[in-house]
Amino acid sequence: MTENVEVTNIDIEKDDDTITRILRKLNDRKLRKQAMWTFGSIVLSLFVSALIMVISGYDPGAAFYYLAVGAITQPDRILFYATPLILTGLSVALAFKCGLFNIGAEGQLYMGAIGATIIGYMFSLPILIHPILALLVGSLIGVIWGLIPGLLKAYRGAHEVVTTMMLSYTAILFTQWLVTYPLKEQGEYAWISQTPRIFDTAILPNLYGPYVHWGLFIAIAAVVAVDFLINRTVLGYELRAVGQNEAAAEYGGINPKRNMALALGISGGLAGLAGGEEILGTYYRFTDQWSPGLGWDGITVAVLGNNNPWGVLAGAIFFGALRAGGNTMHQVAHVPIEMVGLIQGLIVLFVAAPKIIDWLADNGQSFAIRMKSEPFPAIPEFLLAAISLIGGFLGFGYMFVQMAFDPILGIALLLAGITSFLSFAFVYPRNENGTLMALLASGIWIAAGIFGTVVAGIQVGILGLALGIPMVLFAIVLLRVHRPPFLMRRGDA
Amino acid sequence: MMQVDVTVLLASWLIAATLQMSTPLILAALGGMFSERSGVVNIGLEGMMLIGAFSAVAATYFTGNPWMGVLASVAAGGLLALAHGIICVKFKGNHIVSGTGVILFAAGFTTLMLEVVWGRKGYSEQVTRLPDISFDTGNQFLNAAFGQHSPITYIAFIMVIISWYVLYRTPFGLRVRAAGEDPSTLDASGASVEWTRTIAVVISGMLAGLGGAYLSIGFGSAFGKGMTNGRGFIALAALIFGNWTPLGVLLAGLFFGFLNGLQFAIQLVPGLEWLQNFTNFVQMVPYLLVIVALAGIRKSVPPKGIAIPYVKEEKVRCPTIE
Amino acid sequence: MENISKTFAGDVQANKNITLRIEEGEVHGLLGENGAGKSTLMNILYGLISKDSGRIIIRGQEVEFHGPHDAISVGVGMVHQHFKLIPPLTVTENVVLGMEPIINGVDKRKGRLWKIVKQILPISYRSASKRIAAIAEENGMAIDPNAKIRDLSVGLQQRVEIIKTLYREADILILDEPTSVLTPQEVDELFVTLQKFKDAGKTIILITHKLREPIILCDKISVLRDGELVGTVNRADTSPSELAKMMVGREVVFSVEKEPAQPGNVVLQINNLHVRDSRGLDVVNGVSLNVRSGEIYGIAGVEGNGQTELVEAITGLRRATSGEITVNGTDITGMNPRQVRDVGVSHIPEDRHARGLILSFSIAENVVLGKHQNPPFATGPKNMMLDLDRFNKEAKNLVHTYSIKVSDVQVPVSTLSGGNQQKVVVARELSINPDLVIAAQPTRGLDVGATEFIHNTLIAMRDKGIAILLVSAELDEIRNLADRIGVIFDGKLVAEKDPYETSQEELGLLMAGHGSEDLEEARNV
Repeated sequence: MTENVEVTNIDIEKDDDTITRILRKLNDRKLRKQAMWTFGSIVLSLFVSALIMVISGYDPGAAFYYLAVGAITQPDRILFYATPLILTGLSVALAFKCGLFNIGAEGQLYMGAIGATIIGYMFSLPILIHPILALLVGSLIGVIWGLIPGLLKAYRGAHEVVTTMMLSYTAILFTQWLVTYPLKEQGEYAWISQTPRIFDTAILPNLYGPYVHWGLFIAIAAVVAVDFLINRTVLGYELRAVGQNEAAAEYGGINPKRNMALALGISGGLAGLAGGEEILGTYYRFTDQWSPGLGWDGITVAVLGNNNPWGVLAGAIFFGALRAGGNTMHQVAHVPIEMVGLIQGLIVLFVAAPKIIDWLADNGQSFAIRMKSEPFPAIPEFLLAAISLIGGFLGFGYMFVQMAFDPILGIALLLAGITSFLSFAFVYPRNENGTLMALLASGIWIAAGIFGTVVAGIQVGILGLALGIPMVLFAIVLLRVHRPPFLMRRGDA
Repeated sequence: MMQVDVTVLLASWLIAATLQMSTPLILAALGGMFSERSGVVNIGLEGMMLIGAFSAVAATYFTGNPWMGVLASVAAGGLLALAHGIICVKFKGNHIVSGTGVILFAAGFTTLMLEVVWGRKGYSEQVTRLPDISFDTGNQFLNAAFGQHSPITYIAFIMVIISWYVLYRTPFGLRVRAAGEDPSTLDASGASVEWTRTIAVVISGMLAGLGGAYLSIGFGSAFGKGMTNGRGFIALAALIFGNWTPLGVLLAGLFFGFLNGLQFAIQLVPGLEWLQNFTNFVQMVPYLLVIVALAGIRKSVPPKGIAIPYVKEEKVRCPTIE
Repeated sequence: MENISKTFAGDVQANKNITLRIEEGEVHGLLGENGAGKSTLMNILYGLISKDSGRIIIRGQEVEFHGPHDAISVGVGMVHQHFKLIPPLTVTENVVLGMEPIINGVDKRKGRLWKIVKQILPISYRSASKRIAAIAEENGMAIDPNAKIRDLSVGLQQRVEIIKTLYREADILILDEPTSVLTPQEVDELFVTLQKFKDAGKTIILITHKLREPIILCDKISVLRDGELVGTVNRADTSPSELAKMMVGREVVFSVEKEPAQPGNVVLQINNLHVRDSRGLDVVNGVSLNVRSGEIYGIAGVEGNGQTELVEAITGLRRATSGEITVNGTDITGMNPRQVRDVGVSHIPEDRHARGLILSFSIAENVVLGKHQNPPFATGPKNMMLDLDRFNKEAKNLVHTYSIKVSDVQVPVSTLSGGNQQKVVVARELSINPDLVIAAQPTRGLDVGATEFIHNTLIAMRDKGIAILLVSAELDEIRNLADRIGVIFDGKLVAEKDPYETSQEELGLLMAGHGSEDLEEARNV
């Protein structure tokens, strides 16, 4: 499909069919750029985590292989892990559509969970009504917990990032108190802070296999509902308008305050629903600190899904796959499960600054162009940048290993790592001081290598020289091409 | 007679506990102050503390010298903050998302490394603690209250003074405050907004890392998974409640530390056992106070330019927008 | 400065090949309307904006500015229109920012390392305060160095800005619209100060759009229009009316064909309206006017004289402090924007990016903004749902009627050209069959074709019997379109003129705060 720019006459009668619309959406440049950012962030974080694995003595090849195998062979586990993430991701994404950052989904989740638990074990109700009522109460409490910061933001100007975060911890402490004192289960397990088990009537039955329960259905229904709310309703239109341009929304007769409060309220409701669904479908009782950070992961999922409901679904499934595959990776390749959390953190860091990807892409593109037109300085320059980057990671990594044997060598490696990173940061965007920084880094590497051979063995020496010598060579070659201003002045004098 | 002794003992114990509990809060909050006064939101304090706590134990374990641990914690916190600073300042990323990433990364990295270094989950091996500074005042009360504290506690209080000096008396501090209030003015005066902000963020990480080191080798002697336990957020609360000033941070940090000490003190007081059941509510006080403060009952003014990435040419109003 | 050009993103050429020669020790006036490119040019000279091409030569030396730091080091100082001061800091702190003096002796140390070390040595506030006090005294500008900026009046804040440049030992002083924020007394004081600088041999560049100032103060006056230099004249050889002519351009040709207006009933009636701006200052001071159906009432004035707040008060975006606004007899004072819309008022806002459009929204979503909550665009129970097909149909209709050039109504409006974006706003606002249209700067930044289209549309609406309140900073536009012209100055309507019976110069002088008698005076010079 080619882009027709500037066509004046649009057929008034003709309405686009759905397929054309979807095709056009896929062809949208902004969407493609977004996809590039997301994909780039994932690739970058996998790259960095691979280096961390190398440093820690794990085999990243095996780790990623079993991560993938684990994910592919256990689709039910993926969905099981994804279920709560879909809901908390939607919660964060919906608030974000209105320009608000709900980082307190964790607390709303706890409040929703305790609400659902109370209905679940204190009241005896018929089979279908019981879970529905429990979920309703759970999300209602979530709504209240979200509405408080919403109202404070709208009418008192209190920043929602801080208030949601603080209310989140308040909620965790409050529920902890509830399950440690008034609602605590007595008897055999009295040493654990938890409530009694919910009645069987309140349990969300399994949908498929031992893991997937009706919570998944609720979560996907929520995706559809949120998508509908955002795109097809007056309220959604107004929320988005406030989020995109508050002044224009106000001008268009929309009340920004009311919409902000509502957005955080609904957002809290979704997080509360996630809490209720997890209790009724997975945990069956409220244990203190039961959530493995589902609210926080919601932020990750929403950010990765670009705050679009279907993107959130995809993001949640991706993280579900990381979890499911992570178990296999742990069991077979013996890489600690925490690796998954690390990858997740790295993805968020990279997604936070799409300009990193742009920066890499732009400079990479200019390298590619120059490699064709003038391969001589471009190729050594590119190789120098690449070696510097790898050297940076290795320097940091081996610092951890070598610290144990010899702190001086450790510090030398740390310095080598720092200078290598700086060298990359200067060489890659072709800063004039790049070659000098590369020379410095290579000097430290060689020195560390020689010193390392003496105190720690030949491997360190090989590493240092393997990195240092090519760096020196490339840097010297490049010095002859473009002389840094520092040397030029000396030459002139 | 007996009653008086208990009260005195309890009071001195409470003072000591307050100082201990507030040390990491004050350090991290001071760090947050530098970052936020320069205009970069730092919700990643928790992560920087965590990585500081881990690095302190790791370096102590390898070198056998806890002071190396202190250095390592400062370096590690500073490095993680540098990443946050580069993302927020150079690449104009979203401060909150980046801060979340810092927290998640630190949590993942430290638990992973816990297994890599010691091959176990949950807790590291015991390492040498940083030796306390202890002295005898000749008075039982003063001894119990002030006689024995970690050097980091002293550093924290000295840091309050140094921070005050740097922020209000040096060119760097002036630029930090200017960068946070109105970066375009700082730019027009000829100083670099990007450098000022990045350095301020790195300082914040170094201080937070030191706060983390206190938890692992100043107060305790091992690293535990997730051992900061939300202290980074309480530090953030102290920062806001302290109105982004060194003195405010000190007082808020001491107050929150006092609340922390109070919940343990309650357990020691005969006749107050019933209150034990409500210590959770005492813990909530910092969080709730911040909400109250932000809701405007107590005036709380954040720096004006906070969380807004500074884009250079934007500051000049285009005569015609096209 | 030679051949300076600057193009902003979006291909707006703010400066086109401007060459200025400014001699040492002279006071040079830079005159031009809003958006003529004066501030851009001077920001380039101060290093705040990079130039695209051209050279800057100072005392025979070509200089290359990478930032204000370089400009400061060769002695260029600038007093910005919007002060570069930080309110919570003291006068001294603001003045020394970026050039902090360090305790005894260290100041003189050079080198990279010292530059870093200096950053954490104590600032010598005492010596700084002393110097500031000395500078202030020398130039007769009393100021308390320890006062906080936020406690100072605007006039005093400007003093601080001037002291800041003197503190940096600037001998080329750029003042951007220095009088626009001052009271008449403060203006007089400022002029005395500037005269002192001139006597001390400093070079002063005065950016202004008011005619009186260069006439009083300047040796030479350069006039800019649309980013181009119209000419440089000596003060002795010129008159206010000549300058006005140079500033606003040719004698106006009435390029819009229109029938005489057929005014009907009063639609908009404003009585003694007072409005405060967001800083709490009274910016609309007792405006009374009425607009009849079938006529265009033009409000002429230099920007920042209360037009924005006046429009916001009418449309419900800002609360009036006192006064009364009625539309067709309904009191709309204190109504919210939605209620004001519902009585038949539509509003073309002055800044389409800030208020008029939601740039990331599609055309279809933008054309329903403000009527999205009413049928037929909202359907379902309680009108809670949107009829997206209706959106598209409406958008396609309007795209067709207003010949907006788009490939598809689903694309974000941010992808459209400025002219087409404005057409989207106009189409939306006129499609609700209003009784009253408030059009604020409706053609700002548009090319000739789009401008003409919007002018013709407004005339057509007028002929259909709609009342139109047109607010514009462009005199040509007002004279072309309006059936009555009100001139606003300092929040007051200072005159009401018939466009056929007034001249460009007269309006220009009124806009600059002069009475008609000044015109006679100026003609007699």
